[in-house]
Amino acid sequence: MPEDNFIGLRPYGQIDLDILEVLVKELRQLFPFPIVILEACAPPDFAYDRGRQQYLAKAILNDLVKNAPQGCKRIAGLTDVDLFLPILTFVYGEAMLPGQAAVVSTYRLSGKNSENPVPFEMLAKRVVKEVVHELGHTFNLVHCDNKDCVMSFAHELDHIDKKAVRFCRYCSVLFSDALGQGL
Amino acid sequence: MKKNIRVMVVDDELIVRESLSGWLKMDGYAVETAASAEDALDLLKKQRFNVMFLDNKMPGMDGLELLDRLKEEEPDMAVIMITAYGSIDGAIKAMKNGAYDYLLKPFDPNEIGLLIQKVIDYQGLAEENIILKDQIREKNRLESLIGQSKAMQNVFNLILDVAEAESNILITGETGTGKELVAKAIHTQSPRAYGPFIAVNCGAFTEHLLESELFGHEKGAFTDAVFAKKGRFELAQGGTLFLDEVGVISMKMQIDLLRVLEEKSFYRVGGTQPIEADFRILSATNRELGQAIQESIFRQDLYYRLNVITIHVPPLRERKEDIPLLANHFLRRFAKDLNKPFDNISRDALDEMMLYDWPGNVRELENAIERAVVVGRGRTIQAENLPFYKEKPSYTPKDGTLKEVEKGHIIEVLEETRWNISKAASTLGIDRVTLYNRIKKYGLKKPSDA
Repeated sequence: MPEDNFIGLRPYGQIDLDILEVLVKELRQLFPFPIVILEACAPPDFAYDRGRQQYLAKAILNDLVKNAPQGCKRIAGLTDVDLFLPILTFVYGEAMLPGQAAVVSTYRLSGKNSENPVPFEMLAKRVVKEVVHELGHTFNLVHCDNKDCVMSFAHELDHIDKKAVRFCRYCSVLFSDALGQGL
Repeated sequence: MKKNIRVMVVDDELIVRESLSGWLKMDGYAVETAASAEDALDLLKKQRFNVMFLDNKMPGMDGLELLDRLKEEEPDMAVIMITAYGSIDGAIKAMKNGAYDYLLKPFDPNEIGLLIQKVIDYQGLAEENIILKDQIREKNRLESLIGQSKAMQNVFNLILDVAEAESNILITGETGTGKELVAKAIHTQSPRAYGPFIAVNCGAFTEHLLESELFGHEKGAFTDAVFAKKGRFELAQGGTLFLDEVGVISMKMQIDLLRVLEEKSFYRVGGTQPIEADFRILSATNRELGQAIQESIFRQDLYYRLNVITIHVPPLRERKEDIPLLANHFLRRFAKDLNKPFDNISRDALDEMMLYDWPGNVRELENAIERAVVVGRGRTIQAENLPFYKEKPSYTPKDGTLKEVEKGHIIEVLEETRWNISKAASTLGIDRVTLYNRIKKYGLKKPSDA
């Protein structure tokens, strides 16, 4: 494991290793930091809300920060449970703006909540886009109006499939600014 | 990108405040939160907001009560009620009482962004309407750039010095000081005088509209782009582009503008052919851009590109000696326009004008004279025709220190001369401007005319 300034990927429960490998490969293209797969944790039962029958994303973010290894610049959690925020019906992912942690769920991305599970390649692409999007927030990037940009807000799966796995030129500039400011 | 749009979340539940504000921040809005209606009112005293998310049920003053107060105090702010299932009646009542819309908890993530965008578009159109009306009024008022004061002479000299150069110039000054007139003057004195002078009020457009307005667009570039359209960059070719209120442009537009300045070329929205950028940029702001840079809402690199030379237009209160000249100029114009026989301003009226601070600057003076011409009778403008004129209490001098003796003596002379500034200045052996400065320094008020 690198000693400093790496991005850690923390699986909660069972996450397909192939997806993690695709993620590492893609994240290396976009972020100038080593990408490390961290030891998996148990499913995030601590974040379960009985009333909503979903998992509170903020609680997982706090857990990620609490248990982040030393030198971990950013940490992205991956889970297969359905995430929510108290005011929203669901979220695909959540992040600190700016901050250390982000989390993404494969629950809705995989079609697990519907009768149409998606093929591996499609799921992997969706996960990559959502992880890049949420990590973008940790570098203080906000939602972008350019629908092709990975930082555009996608509520529909169709939009996630259409947007690119890259920052538009504005977000690239802002991302460079964030790195320059030591974020 | 939407940092200029301020949103307040008012809810007594911490978790709702945190998650809603967190989500809105990710969408790029500037967000503040308040745990009660009372806290919300306190926040509103300090700053303005475009949109408020307001919980219906709160301890103390509830959402509906606050909504009633806001209708009077913040009529331009859109209020969106947050309500739980089972409290829809309250939300409907709120809509009848002026709320813009309501949301049921928990919301669909898509709903919030769309709703705010709808509000902002609506508010943008309303503001654009006001600004366009102002622009029509402002047309052809170059004559307002009048002044014999040293401060204005310095501005005129600077205009002549910089006009020949191609450097970008930032014109600063309070609202109403005539920044656009300075820009026009630079253009007309420059080698680009035979080219067009194209002005854009950046504050009058939403981000998307401003992009299309500046860059132009190709047919089909977006849903409403039925025809290709030249942008202001293209229209300004060979001339001068004046960007007013440049301090309010979005971060995205700042990046675009910087690119145009660096590469000296640009593309229409949806276009693939680069177009040469052959124009000089003059920009203006009444914002403190140094502070905006510190707050990360204005890019430092763009600031240095735009601000090769700064021209500061002084406020009218710092060049009061220009007031008689300006006032008489406006008097002649409005008397002619309104077909009224005015040809003079009384000594009292002029004294009132000299003692007034003119927060709205030359534009306020112009409006004051227009009003005086409309409401006044006869041939002479009187003090009571001025909008800011008030009966004032008399002042009793104290003696003691040298300053108090000076103050007392000035009051005595002013009373002897019935506040005739010229006579009083002559008796005191000082000029009129010095006397006005002393009057201001000691906070002297002219007694009522009784």
